[in-house]
Amino acid sequence: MMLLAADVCAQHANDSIRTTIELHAVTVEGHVDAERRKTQPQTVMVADEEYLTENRSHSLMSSLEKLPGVKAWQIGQGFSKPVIRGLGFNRVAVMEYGIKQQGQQWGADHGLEIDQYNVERITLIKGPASLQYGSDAIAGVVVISPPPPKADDGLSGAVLLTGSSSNRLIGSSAGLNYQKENTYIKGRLTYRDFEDYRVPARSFQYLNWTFPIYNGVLKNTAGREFDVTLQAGRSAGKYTSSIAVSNVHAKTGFFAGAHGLPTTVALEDDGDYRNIGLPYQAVNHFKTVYNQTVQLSRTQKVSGDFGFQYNLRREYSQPHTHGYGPMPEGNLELELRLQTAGLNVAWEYYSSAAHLLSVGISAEYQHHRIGGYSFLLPCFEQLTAGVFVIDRYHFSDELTGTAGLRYDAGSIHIHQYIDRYLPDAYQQRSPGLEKAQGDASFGAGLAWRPHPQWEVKANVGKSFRMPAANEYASNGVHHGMFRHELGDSTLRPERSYQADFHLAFQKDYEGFITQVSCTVSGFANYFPNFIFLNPTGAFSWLPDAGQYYRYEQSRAFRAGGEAQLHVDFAARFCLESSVEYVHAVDLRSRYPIPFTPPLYLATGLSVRLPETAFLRRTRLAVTHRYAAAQHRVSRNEAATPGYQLVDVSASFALAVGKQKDGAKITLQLQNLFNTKYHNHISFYRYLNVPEPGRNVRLSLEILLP
Amino acid sequence: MKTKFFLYVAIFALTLAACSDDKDTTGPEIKLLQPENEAVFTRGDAISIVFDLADPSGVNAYKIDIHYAGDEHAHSHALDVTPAHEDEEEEPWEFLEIYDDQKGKTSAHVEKTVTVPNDIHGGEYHLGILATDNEGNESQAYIDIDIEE
Repeated sequence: MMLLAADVCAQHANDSIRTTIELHAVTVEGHVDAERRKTQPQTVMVADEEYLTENRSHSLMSSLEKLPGVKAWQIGQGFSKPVIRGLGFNRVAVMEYGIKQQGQQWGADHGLEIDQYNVERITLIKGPASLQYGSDAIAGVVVISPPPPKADDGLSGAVLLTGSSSNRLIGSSAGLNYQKENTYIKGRLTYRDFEDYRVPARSFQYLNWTFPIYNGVLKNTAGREFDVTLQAGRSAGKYTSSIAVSNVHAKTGFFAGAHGLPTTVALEDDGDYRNIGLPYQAVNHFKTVYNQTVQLSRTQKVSGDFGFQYNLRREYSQPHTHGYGPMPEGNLELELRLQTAGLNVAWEYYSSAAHLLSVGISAEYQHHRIGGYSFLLPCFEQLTAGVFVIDRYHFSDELTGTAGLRYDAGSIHIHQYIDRYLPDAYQQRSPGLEKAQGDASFGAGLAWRPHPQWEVKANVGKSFRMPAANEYASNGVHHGMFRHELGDSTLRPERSYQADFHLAFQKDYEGFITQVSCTVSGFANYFPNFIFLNPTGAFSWLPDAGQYYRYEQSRAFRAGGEAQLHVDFAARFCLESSVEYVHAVDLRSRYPIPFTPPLYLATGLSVRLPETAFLRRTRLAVTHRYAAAQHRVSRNEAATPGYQLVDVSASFALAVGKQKDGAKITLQLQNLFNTKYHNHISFYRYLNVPEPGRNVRLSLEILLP
Repeated sequence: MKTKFFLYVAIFALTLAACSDDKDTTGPEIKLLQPENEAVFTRGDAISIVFDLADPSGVNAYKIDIHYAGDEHAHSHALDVTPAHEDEEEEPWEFLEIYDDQKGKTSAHVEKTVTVPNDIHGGEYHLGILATDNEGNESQAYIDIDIEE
């Protein structure tokens, strides 16, 4: 755990020892990672370049959905964000370049603003990790790790072209890398442009109307994305440093029926599937991070990450007056400008072969400003800081123990907001607020290998999460959610007490079956004050608003787990099966927690064909996915029927000139039978709009000679 | 090892089966008796709105919502229809009223009268009844009505 904290939080360049890669259908990892994972008590999964190439989907998080316990909250077909064991939004931290990604992650229609093609390795921690990562890591962490340095000096690069049929995606990403001795510089440009996506339906039922879906195209779900990344790094003696600058720009329409009540007129085919009409969102995320590591001596190391981010979100929609005040000018409904400056500093000390001690601090300052004719979230400034100490002790080669303690404190200043055009009683949309809160986290875990084929891990601990500004102070209608969301200034930091275990078995055999591996993970969580939106039953005075939903705290219990079986047989074949389930209940009202994914089973069969001088890494796979119906729903949450999907994929690499894998090609056929289904954790679920139909996806990556 | 795997699958399945307690997750049933869908009115008319509400958890509040459906909502600008009346004084009509006079009842019969103002512009309107129950479940029933130009 400590190694992870240190390695992942604070530096990147030290991952240089890269040994042979062992191929698995799902996870591919180097030995360094394997070793780290074995002594780390938490349940960790790694998706590396190979996995990502073979499973790349519409968006970064969709690509990770084959990992058990990981789901993507879908926002149409272009964007998504992580859900780990049924929790997401502000409860999963995403780390890139060692710094926590800070956008408006609380929003149901806000995706993760990260260039998916700039990601070559992902480490996922399932379960609470606020000890290492602070607030927001209460359900898990997605760590985007840098790829290891290239083996050879010189110029290298690749161009990726991708296309997909259901949204007529055209995408391209080009990366260049120059490395000389201990210095590297690299850059990447990514552009994606996609049309409105197709669904296997010609109409959808909403409220008591049936609305048409002309030609099976979901109007105004098109989008565009343009990303630029530049990175440079140097390692000289004791000093290793790197700097990254990136800008992600994404623009995507909202389905014409998703903003206000749908009308047949608004849904009419406009003959242009690639245009982005009103309503739409445009988001720009700028980020720059500097990392520095100093190896003080053979036993001590200090590392630091310093980052600045600017998330600019604009949502456009046609205004309407509703009788209060003049008609607003322009279509800018909501503008949210969030600037975040953050730092982490960690000191590591190897006291002897047995102890590895790490002490660190992290701090973050946020500055939020708003614009647009509508109001949802007020301006605020927030300062948070934490200090932690983690010790890992090697009892023996088989047994490692980790224990840690962390304290975080934060203060937020939320501005008053007065809307003078509203009736007197409603003018004050935000009362203005000063809050300062702090909380401790702790954790202890064991990683034990009683036998070379067996691995046992167990953890207990307490995690926390600071209430986010929207939970304290939102007061307005967010898009077509038809609800008036109200914050509560009296919320206390959310706490989670958890215990989890992980059992793994792996054995090699002679004969038909060559290897069997199996993992079982389970968890139980108790939140004395889980924060979530609850309907009040009282109607809002705002038009198109439905009723008030208020952020409330309640006792919640969550439990579940994943099991995975992996069998290699007949030399080239691999059968993999996994099951995952989460049970989550609000103990006060006895209602289930909303947006809990259903029981999910995935089974895949793959074969790797023999390699030739020309054709390598050929893998054919067929996957069957089964999601049970989700009847355990919260108030106003629609139950979702179960579904089964079949996907087929083929990937291979061709030799081009001197390059052995000069061209990598992946062909995927998603939802082979064009099944009409609903995803319980999708932004468009509440509109009862089905998920995308059959999709052919082709991607071609060409290495520069 | 395999037995263990299946054992866990069985445990998951049992957990699933054990927790299917029936909670009220749907809003009141709304039976809109009057007016009929696509009914036509003229300015100055009194619209008689009659409906039944039923919910096992008890009705909490309800809302009558009448709003212009011609060109207000979420469209592409490609279809920016200019209203037939460019008369500045004729605003689209909007009626919103929240009531809690049936609070706690598991079934209720409601009759209300709403008068169409004289200074609004005609066209297609949505007329909706929205209702919540005591658990916070919500339901809606909408129809289209026409106000003659």
